[in-house]
Amino acid sequence: MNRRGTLLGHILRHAVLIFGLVIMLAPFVWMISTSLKPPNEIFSTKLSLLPNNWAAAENYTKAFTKVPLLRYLLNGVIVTGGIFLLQLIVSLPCAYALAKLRFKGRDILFTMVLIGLMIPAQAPAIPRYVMLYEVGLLDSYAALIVPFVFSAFGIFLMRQFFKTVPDDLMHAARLDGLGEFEILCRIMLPLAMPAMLAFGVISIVTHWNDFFWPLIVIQTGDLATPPLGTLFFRNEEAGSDFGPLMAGTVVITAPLVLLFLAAQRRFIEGVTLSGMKG
Amino acid sequence: MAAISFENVRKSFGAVEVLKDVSLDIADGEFLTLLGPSGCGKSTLLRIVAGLERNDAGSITIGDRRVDALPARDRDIAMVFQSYALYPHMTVAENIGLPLTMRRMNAWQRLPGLGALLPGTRAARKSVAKDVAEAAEALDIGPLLQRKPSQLSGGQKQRVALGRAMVRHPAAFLLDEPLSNLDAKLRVQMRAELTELQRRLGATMIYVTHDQSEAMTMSDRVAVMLAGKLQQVAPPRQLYDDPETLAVAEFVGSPKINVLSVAGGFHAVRPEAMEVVADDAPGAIAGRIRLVEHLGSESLVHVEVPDVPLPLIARLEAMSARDPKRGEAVGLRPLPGRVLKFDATGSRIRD
Repeated sequence: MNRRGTLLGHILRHAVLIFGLVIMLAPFVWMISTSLKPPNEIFSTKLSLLPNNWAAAENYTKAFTKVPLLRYLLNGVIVTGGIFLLQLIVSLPCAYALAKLRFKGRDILFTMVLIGLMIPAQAPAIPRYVMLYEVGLLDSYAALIVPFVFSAFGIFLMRQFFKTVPDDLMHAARLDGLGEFEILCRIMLPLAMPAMLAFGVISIVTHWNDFFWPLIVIQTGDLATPPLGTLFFRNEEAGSDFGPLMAGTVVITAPLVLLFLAAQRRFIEGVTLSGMKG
Repeated sequence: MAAISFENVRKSFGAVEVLKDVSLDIADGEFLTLLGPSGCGKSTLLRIVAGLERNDAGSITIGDRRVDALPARDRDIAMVFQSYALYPHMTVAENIGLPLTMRRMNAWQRLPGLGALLPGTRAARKSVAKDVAEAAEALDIGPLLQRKPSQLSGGQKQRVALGRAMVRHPAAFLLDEPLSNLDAKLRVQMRAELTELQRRLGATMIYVTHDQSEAMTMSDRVAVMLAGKLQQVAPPRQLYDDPETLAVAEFVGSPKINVLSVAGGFHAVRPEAMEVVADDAPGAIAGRIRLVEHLGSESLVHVEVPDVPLPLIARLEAMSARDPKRGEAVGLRPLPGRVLKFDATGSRIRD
């Protein structure tokens, strides 16, 4: 390929990427822009990104005072943190066993994990709801956390990562006197950091943003997760006060964006499953 | 240190029988090499000693303990892997120290943070550090202790792996092709160092390799393994000069031994036991030179002989008066008393 062809290719490639970027970013830009405007400018026919009269202070103050936004954020942290921690406790040993130990029925179990991966979260919602009702856990943190503790995706992702760790490393560890649990904690976990981080980002984003399940099991406002909180916000304000609403959504989206930016490099390492190089 | 013995050990993976009735006694302090082509079962046998695989039948004794049912960590055995198998997230010092940490500190003392507060932890850590430093000194890797494995060269990784094996003074060392990832020059150097180390430690070592020059140069005895069976166990010299079977004669020695079909079996002659003579000399096999390889100290003469599938090879000293040329018609004649005779099944016939 000659230089001009390469240049043209570059321009085309970037044009396509920029187009995609604009489409994906536009709603967010609009969200931030709206969160800065007073009501009369939000509905003005004139399109402008920046407001003439800044209403940022009022909007954000309202967002934090009209509804307990901080409480929702805290709920979000408790629920997503709780889910991720328990998911790790369950999926790491499972993944290690499926990747590295030989036992009867292993392949069948792994097939079941794969099938679990295909089932959409909404499918078992009703039975789960009934089960939580039977044990009296509806409308609690447990209702938000427990159903997600067994993560087929987590088991699958970590198993694929553990597969890339050479067997000799475990053999060496066994000869050095480590038991299976210690191999997992001392050898596998430190190596699996990038994969765990990737899993963490995916799990936290999914459950932070989950609207469907909290909507079903939560009635008490104090237990609302951030997305559910925005719903309460709308009810409270009869759905007209878009400035503070957008301010609220900016606040609940920001932690995720920050989390991803902080973990970006290692996240990509994790999902590409960069293997071991001793 | 301890003697190791195998009695009628068998192992199958599914329908494939990998070890067919292996019996072998290794003396305390012996350097024994398991030599064989890849897939012959030698690595499996080593893994069975280590406890990483279970034997289907037979017994394994280390010292005076029967170990078949013991897990790897209770067998008091250290292993060096072809891939070195160093823990990538630990420093050299931590890598070498881990087997000691596991043995000298209990589960509570090993906990990060909390462990440091418990009685005895400091003393245990000190004793580990001291032994690690000693091992590192012996292997000349003292200055590398704080590095991670990814910052080491192949030879250095090899030494760290050795350090991790020797630091706890195990009953025996198992080495699984430890030199095959090194470049040729370093391999020769490490060969000498390993032998020297083994003599110094007085250690029992089982060394697995497919490289016969390693087997011949390092071992007290070599066990040749072909297709899951031990063919012959003997000191290197004897293995070369006095093979029990045609298969051993063919596997050991480079270039390969010359094999001639005769009535009722085979005659085999080492290349250096072949004389290059005139094509009409009495007792000579007449042929035509196809290739002459000059190796400096010697030359290899490949001679094509009618009705023999592979060219016969003769090894000539560089100083030899003859200077054979390609295409020349010559005769090859075995030196008197240097023909090895085998019957049709490949077993040695002794006169």
